[in-house]
Amino acid sequence: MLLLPLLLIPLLTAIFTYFSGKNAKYVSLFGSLLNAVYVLFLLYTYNTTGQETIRFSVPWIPQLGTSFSLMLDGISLMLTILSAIVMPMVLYASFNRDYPDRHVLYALMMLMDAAMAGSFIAADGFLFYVFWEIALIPIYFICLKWGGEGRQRITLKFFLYTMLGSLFMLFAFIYLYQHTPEKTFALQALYEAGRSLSIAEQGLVFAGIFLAFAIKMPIFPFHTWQPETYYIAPTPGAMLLSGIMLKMATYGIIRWLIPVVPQGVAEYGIWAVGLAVVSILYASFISIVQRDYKRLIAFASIAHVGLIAAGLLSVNVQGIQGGLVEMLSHGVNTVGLFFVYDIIVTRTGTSDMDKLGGIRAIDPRLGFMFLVIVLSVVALPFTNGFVGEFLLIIGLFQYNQVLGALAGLSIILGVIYMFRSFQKMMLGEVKDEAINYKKQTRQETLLLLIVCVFIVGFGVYPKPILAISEKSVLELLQGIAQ
Amino acid sequence: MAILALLAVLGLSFSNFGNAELVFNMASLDGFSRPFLMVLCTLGILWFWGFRRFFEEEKTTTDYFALTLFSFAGAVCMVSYTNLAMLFLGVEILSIPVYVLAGSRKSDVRGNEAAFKYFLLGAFSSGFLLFGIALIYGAVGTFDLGEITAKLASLTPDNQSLVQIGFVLTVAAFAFKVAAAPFHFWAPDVYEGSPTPITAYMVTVVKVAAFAALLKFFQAFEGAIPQTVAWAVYALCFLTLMVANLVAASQKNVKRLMAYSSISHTGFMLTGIFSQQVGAENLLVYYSLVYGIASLIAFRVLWFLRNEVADIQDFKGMLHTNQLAAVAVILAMLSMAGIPPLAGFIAKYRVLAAASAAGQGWLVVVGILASLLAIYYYFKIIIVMFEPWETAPNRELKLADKVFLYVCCALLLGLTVWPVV
Repeated sequence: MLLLPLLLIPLLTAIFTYFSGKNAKYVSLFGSLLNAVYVLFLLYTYNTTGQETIRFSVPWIPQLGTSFSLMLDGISLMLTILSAIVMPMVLYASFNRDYPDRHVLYALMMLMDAAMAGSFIAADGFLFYVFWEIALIPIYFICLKWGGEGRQRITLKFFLYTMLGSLFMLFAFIYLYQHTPEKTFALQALYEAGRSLSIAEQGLVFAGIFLAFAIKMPIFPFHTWQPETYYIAPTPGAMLLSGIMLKMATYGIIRWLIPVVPQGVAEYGIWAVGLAVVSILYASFISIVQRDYKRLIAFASIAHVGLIAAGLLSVNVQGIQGGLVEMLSHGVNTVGLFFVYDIIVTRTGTSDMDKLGGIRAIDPRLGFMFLVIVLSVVALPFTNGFVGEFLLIIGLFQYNQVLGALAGLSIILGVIYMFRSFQKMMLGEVKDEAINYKKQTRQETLLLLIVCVFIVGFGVYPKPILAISEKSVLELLQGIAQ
Repeated sequence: MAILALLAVLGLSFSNFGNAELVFNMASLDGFSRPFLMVLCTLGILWFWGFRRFFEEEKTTTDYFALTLFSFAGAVCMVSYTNLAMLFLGVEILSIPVYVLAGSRKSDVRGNEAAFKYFLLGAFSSGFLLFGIALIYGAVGTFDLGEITAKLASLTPDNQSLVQIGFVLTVAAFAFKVAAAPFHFWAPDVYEGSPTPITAYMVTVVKVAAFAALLKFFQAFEGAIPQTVAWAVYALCFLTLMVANLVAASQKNVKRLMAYSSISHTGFMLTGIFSQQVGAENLLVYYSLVYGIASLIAFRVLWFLRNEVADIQDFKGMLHTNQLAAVAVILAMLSMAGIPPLAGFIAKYRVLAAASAAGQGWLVVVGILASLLAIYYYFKIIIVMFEPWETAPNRELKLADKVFLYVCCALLLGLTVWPVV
């Protein structure tokens, strides 16, 4: 029962937002803040009850062996916190921008929030798949209606691509389902079914499920939809896509891949980790030569998520914990990065970095806050980016030293492309496009300030966040070891 | 007049709930036929309701009414037969009025072409059906399905091969009726040429009746189908899924597109019922209901656009000009494309699960690819609706039609949240 509000609050907010006309932004912000407060309450409950997993289950379609089961342990809670933090930020970021039919936009965003929350707490394979797909529909329409040039083709490609992957995941789930003794999609039953398979079968199931996640994250070579989609997506859409949505895939690796086919992961996981590392390097190098700031963020996102995936698939405490922390940091940082893009592009009309320059001289506050975000993205100690990436690289290093070393390069490469973007846009001479640049508004400052506070606060004292998921991660690893 | 007919059909459907088993010697109202009758009646009522103006506009209203109801009676025979002779009668009663209705716009060349083509090929397939039934009769010595099933095990090898040929021929005839590739060539032309309401009738009532009959036929022969024949049917499924979706992806005419989409759904339904056979009733009932309602929405809106050529661009900007119709079509398209969590997804899912349970993993992969292709062309329509509109043909839907769309959408969503069967 405790878990239902996680779905109902965003869902009801979506409905109210749709009918609230001009007040849509306030209604949706209120709903998302309410959701955040509720998540804090859940966190409190979770900690005071000795971190017991909270469960909820009612029958749904018994003929298909699926029930409406939800569960919340430390891992799910981390992701729930992520979406609870990021969602109000995304809504607030779009407050002073002109979007036609914004009540529809906000309603779709809240609907997506509900679906993503559902996928983070689903404890039934079928239900997870359903939430996973529901999340796709609003973002498709957001990009289709409010997107930029060429959106029809690009969004369709995005939709088909992710759908292809998830259908293979569904196929893998059906396969597992048929190996469960009582024909059910329940999480635990799927775990048992997966573990009873031969190594070769586990490898196939692994491939099917991993494909879905690899497309969603995305990982090279399944990434081709991503830069385009981020580029045409309206800023809130891009924030949602990279801030929360891709975490559905990384979360999926922890919950729906590693424990389902542990031997398959042990046997064939090296291929996936290898791909992830290739993905890191490839995306980093492309980021270095990007001229457009938004595309740079898109590729940087591929690099970071590649590192998360590689760390998670190392299957050790550091890797998984690091991955969870990095998901949280990446979610917040991405919002910051996209918001800086939004601020600059609404003033200058371009995100081409060659045409920009000297903004710091005009607006030092923006320059400073952007610098903080950049430092966090390049994982400077005492920022939140450092905690996650450090753990991830330790985890990966234990798994395979060569791959660990290669992935470690990502930090250096990250410094190159992030500093380069900072230098081009913020320093140097003031170029034509930036000449009439207006200082940032109070709303913009406030949002960036929240991001910065989070970055520094969590970077200096990460212990409470790490503690949320630690127990669950250890349990998960014990379960696999048996 | 329209209301009268509506009430008649309503009464018919309600009588199903109360009726005890009425056993004639050739048909029976039992656990198998009752759910299908309900589906047929639901679709029939919705169809009469949504397309009632079709009757008001034409001059010879009564004729059309009689023809549709007559053909509906054929559909009822087809879902409740227990005797192959009755099956044949049902098929003919169903088809002949539809041949006439397909050509009901007498001055229209395409309509005439459609009717003629449908009639000619339909007569051909009836021949196949009759031939198949005759061969089965020759081998087993009875038309009764129950007796056929009982006698199948104790046949001489000669008679067995006769039964097999008869089975293949009958399935081929059915494949024609439900438009499964490679017996589908008539479908796009006929669906395009016929008046839109009649097309809607063909893709819903006619198709559901034919599928129910086919399922019953499969069940009677369950276990007696040799591997080679089974492979032939699976090949039929494969071809239907691939051909329909590949061709549909390149269509610009919405009616043709819907025709191919309907063929693709044939592929799914065929896959489902052949993989599962025993106990596939629920699957088929659910699938036909979901597919039927979504089709009715699509054709109703298509008819509202009133353009008999119905280019995909006719939908342009509909989201801005006619929001209700646009949202209904989006819902129908999403459902038909099998996007979770809509009912169409659950229906397709059950089909794929059945195929997977029957050990036809490759068919599952084909089904997945097919539904991806399907997303591509259904989304083409959705994307067009999102485009800004230039010319606004600002015609409003009538209140009753709005209610019709609301009811259809509600049913579709209801089947999503609460998948009854």
